Amino acid sequence: MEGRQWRDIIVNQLQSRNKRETTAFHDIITFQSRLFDNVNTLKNENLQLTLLNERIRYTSSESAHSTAGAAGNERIQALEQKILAQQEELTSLHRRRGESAQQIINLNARVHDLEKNLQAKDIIISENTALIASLRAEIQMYENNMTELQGLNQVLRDEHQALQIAFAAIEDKLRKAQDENRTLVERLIKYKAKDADKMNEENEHFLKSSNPTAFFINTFGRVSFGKKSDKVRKELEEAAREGGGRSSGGSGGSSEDKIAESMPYYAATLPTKVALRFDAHDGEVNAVKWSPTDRIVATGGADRKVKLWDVSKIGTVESRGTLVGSNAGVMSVDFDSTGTYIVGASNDFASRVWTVADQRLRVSRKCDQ
Amino acid sequence: MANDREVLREIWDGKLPICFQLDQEEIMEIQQPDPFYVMVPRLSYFPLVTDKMKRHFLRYISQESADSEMWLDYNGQPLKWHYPIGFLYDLYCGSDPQLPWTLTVHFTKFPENILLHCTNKDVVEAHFMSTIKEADVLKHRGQVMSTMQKKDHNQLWLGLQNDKFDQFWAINRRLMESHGENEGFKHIPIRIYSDDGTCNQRLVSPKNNDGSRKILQQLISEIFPDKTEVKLRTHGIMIPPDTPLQWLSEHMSYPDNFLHLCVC
Repeated sequence: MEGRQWRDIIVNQLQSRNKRETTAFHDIITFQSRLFDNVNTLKNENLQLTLLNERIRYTSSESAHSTAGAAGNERIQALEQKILAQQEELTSLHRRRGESAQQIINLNARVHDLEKNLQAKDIIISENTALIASLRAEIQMYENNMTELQGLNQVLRDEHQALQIAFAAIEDKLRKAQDENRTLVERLIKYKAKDADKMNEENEHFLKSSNPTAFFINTFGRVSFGKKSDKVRKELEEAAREGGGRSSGGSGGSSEDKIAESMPYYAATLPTKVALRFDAHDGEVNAVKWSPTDRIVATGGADRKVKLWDVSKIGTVESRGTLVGSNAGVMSVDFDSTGTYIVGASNDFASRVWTVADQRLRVSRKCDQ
Repeated sequence: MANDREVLREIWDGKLPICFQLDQEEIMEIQQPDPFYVMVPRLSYFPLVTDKMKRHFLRYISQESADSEMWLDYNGQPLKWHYPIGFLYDLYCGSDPQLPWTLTVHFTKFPENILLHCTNKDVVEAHFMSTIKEADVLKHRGQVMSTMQKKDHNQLWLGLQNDKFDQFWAINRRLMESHGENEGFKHIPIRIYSDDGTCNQRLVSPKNNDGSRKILQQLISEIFPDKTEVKLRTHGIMIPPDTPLQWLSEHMSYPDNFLHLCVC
């Protein structure tokens, strides 16, 4: 077959190639690689043996010196034993050295750690000192603040005290003023009562004169007056009855007649010639009275004044003074028996007493009190 | 059909003796390092076989360059790790065979613009799998590769890595089968390299226009019309010019499913 031919050529070529390239070198290369490995292992072995040999030589070199001249084997043995012991000692020392080296390393590490610790602590301390300083400054600040506040507080307390004192004083004043006010009110009430009394008196007076006008006025008075006036009237009636009984001897008709009969009876001559004439007041003259001791006339007028007139010299009149103090027209005046005091009754429900000598108001009192 | 087990086995068993030597400038020890001899499979890649050698030479170089990437050269020509070892030998040493193959090991002055970086074996695996996929696209429009499972891909790679012929071919057999009534690949994945290393990849059909099998001689006359005496080498042998391309692709492809042919 044609195909076989080129295939055979190729197979032959390949076989010869393998023979040439592979089989020829295979054994030698394997052998070489084995040798190569052997060389490597031997090299390592040799190195180890050299080291061992070196060590042995080193150990034996010292013993060789001493044993050179020695004769007896015992000595050598002793020395060898010694060497052995020393070697053991040496190994133990080596071990100890290793241990101590380890210890040194450990201690070094520890020292390092401690140094680190120390550094850390130093840092902490420095931080803390800074903190303390700042805190101290803060404390100082707060103390300053506190003293300031205390001073302020003291001042405020002082002020408060002063104000308290002022307040107490003012309160006292207020109480006094209130008391005064109360007394004044009382007095006012008293005066009012007096005025009312006076008014009653006046009313009674009107009633007594049985003036229909007065009676009319009376109706304007207080209701309480009515009872009083009734009482007074009864007393007056009683007195009139007694008086009538004394003058008429118990003759009587109706009550009206009795009153008319019991009126006081004076025998008088009528003055015909005016000895002295003067204008005493601005307005009506309501009352005139002789002083019981001196030749002095007191007049009371609608101009709310009481005037004293010296009429000791005939034909002339001299004013001895004006007594003021009434709030309404003076309706009546009178002297006391010694002529030192003068009393004036006024329309303001009050009566007043003056001294003649110094013409000063001594007593002023409302009627209804 | 890839049924010629004898040929496949012969190809798979091909090994090369290689002698690694450390670059003289990089030796930092007083003692000269011994050269490192090893037998490597032709179908394998350099990053998969140089671990032990690298450990051996690391003792003799300076410490600072110990971590840098290792690379190889032959006669001052840096070797690209992503080509199979056997192909590299055929390319640089095929016309003048000298065994064992002596290579120089470098740890410094990595030729950045010539070589790809290879940090670990995963990079080699990724490159290998992508080349297989490219070949499958050419042969079956990528249908076989895409129907495979992940464990099949792993088996391909592990078979190559551990030099296990049966493990590898159990999977690779499916890639070498031809589908359809024509009994042949769609195209032949083939790369032809010149002496200076330049690569020539063309769309090559396994059949002539008249339907007959295309043989190597016809391909050579297509690619090199002006040269008459052109011989192609792969796996260390000269290919007879009357070999059919279909058979060649099925039996003489490298594990990456490509035919790497060198002109000589």
